[in-house]
Amino acid sequence: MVADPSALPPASPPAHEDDDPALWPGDVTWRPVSPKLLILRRAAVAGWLIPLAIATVVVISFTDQRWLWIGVPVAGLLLIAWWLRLVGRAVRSWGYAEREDDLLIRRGVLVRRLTVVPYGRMQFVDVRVGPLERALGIATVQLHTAAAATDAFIPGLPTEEAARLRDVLTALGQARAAGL
Amino acid sequence: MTEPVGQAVALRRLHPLTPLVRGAKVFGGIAAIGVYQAYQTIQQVGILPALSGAAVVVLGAFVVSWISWRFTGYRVTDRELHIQEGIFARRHRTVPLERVQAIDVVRPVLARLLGLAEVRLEVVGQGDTEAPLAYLSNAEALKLRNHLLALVGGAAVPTEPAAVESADKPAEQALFAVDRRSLILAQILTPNTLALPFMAVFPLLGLVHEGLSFPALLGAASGIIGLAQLPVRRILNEYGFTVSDTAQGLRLRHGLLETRTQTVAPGRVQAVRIFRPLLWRPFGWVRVEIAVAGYSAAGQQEQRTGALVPVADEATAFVLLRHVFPQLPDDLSTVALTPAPRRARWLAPFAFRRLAAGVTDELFVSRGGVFTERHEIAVLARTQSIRFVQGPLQRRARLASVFADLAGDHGTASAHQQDVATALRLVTDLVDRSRANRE
Repeated sequence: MVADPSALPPASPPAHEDDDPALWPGDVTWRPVSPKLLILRRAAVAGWLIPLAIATVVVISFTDQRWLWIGVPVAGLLLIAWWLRLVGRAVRSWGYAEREDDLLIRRGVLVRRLTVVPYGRMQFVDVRVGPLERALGIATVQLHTAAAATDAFIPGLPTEEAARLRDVLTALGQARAAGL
Repeated sequence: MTEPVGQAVALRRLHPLTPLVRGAKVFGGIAAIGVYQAYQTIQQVGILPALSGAAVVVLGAFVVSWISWRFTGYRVTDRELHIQEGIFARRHRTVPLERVQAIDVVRPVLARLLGLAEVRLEVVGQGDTEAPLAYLSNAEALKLRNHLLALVGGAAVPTEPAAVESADKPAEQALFAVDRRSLILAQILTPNTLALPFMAVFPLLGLVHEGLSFPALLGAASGIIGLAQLPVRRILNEYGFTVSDTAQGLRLRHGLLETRTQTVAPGRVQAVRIFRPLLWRPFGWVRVEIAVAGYSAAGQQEQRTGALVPVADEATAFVLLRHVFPQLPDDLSTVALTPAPRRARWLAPFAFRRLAAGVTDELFVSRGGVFTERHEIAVLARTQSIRFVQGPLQRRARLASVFADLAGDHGTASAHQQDVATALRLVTDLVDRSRANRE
C-alpha cells in the first residue's frame, strides 16, 4: 500500500516494542506502572468475555453442527490468548518520567501516545481509587491543566507511589505556576 | 441567615423583572411540548384539564422564579465577586476575580424586549465554572461589566461603581463591522449549505414515498433543520458583528436575536484559527476564530461563536487580529512549515497536500483542511501540554501526529501525518521553546 519501498517499516519489529526507547529522543528513565494493573485489566476483559462465552455456548447448543463444538472453543481460546497478550503489552507500555520541568507519560500498543505536561501548567492533581483498585492497592493519578484536551493520567500506581507523585506534582506545580 | 465575608458592600438584587423572564422560559418550554403533544393530550384528558395543568405548571414556575429571585444576590468586593442563591440549600459562591478570563454581556430575545441583560464571567478551569448573573438592567449590566473588567485588569479601582461611566461608550473606536450581504453569502458558500440540497433529497423522497402525513412532514423538516443548523446559527450569531477598540481590549458585539458583547483583553488569546473555504477564494475572504481561556470546550450548547472576524478580506482580518494577537507573523507564507511526506496521502488522501507544521520562536503554526484551508496558530508561552499520537496505520507508514493543547474552546493546534522523526523533533522543539517562552 505504500508506494515508496523505503517507506516500509522493517520486516521484523524489535522484540520488545513496548520498551521502544525511540518514543522520547533524550535521556529519560521511564518508570513502569505496577504489574497489578494487569490483574485489573484482565479482570475487565473477563468481565465481558465470560458473558460472551456463555451466550456463545447457548447459541451453539441450539444448532446441530457438531464441528462448532470444537471450532468455537478453539477460536475462543485463541482470541482470549491474543487478547490477554495484548493487555499485557498495553500494561507494560505505560511509563512515566519526572524530568526537571515536566512530566512525561507514554502509553499504548495499537495507538502510541506520549504526553508532556509542564509542572507549572498543572491546575490540580486527582488521585482516584476504585473498589477493585483499592483491593489491589493501586491508584490512578490524573493531572488537570487549563486545556480540556490534556489527557494526562497514570493508572496502576502503588498507593504510596501515587501519594508521593501527587505531593511532588502539587509542590512543583505551585512552585512553577505560570499564569495563563 | 448568616452573612459571610464582605459585609462592607451591600448585597445587590438582580432586576425585579428576572422572575418574569425565567418563568417565561418555562412557559416557552411548556408551549413547545404543548404544540407537539397537544392533540394527543387533549384527546386523552380533555381540553380543560390539559390547559389547567399547563397553567399550574407555568404559574408554579413563575412563583418559584420569584422566590428564588428574592433569595439571590451578588456583591463585588475588591478581589472577589460573591453570589448568593438557593431557596432551601443556600449557596454562596465566591469568584476570585484574578481567575476571571472573560466577561460577556448576553441579551436573550425576551430579556432584550424588557431591557435586561445577563453578565457572564468565564473562569479558568473545567466545565461549569462560569458565574452567570441573570438578569440586570442594561445600564447596570454594562456598569458591572466595566467595573469588573477594571478590577480584573488590575486598573485603578474606582471606589464607586456608578462613577465608572454612565454609558457603554468610553472612548470606543470602531474598527470593523461585518458586511451583512457578505456574511450571508459566505455562509451559503460553505460546504454545509452546499451539501443541503443533496442531503435534503432523502427526507423528501421519504415524504413522496410515504405520502403527506404529519409525522413524515415533521421528519423531513427536522432533517433539513439539522443540516441547515450550522450556517443558520452562524448567521444568527454573527449578524451585525462589530469590533471596536476600548481601553480594556477589543469589544465584539454580535447577534440578531440574542446579542452578545465580548471583551477580548490583549494577551488573552491562546490560539488562532484562520479558515479559507474553497468557494470564498474568489472573494479573497477569510474567517478568523480565536481561542480565549475560560470559554471551555466542556461549555454548554450555547450561542457562542469563537469568531473574531466572521468574514472579511484577508488584509482587514489580519489588521484586526494583530490588535489582540501581536505575535502574528506579517505573512503566514513566510513561516517555514515542514510539509507532510508524500506517503501521508495514503492516510489523508485529500488533505495531505495541505498538511504542514512548523515552530517559530514563539508560535506553533500548522496547516490543514480538505475543502477549507485551515491554519492553526498557537502561542507557545501558553501551551498546557504537548501530545504525540501514533495510530496503527500511522505506525506502518512511519507517520505521527503532534498536538499542542491550550486553554479555551478549540484551543488545540495539531500537526497531522508528519514523519515520525519530524514529529518527535517537533515535540522536543515545542517542549523546549514553550519552556523558554514561559520564563
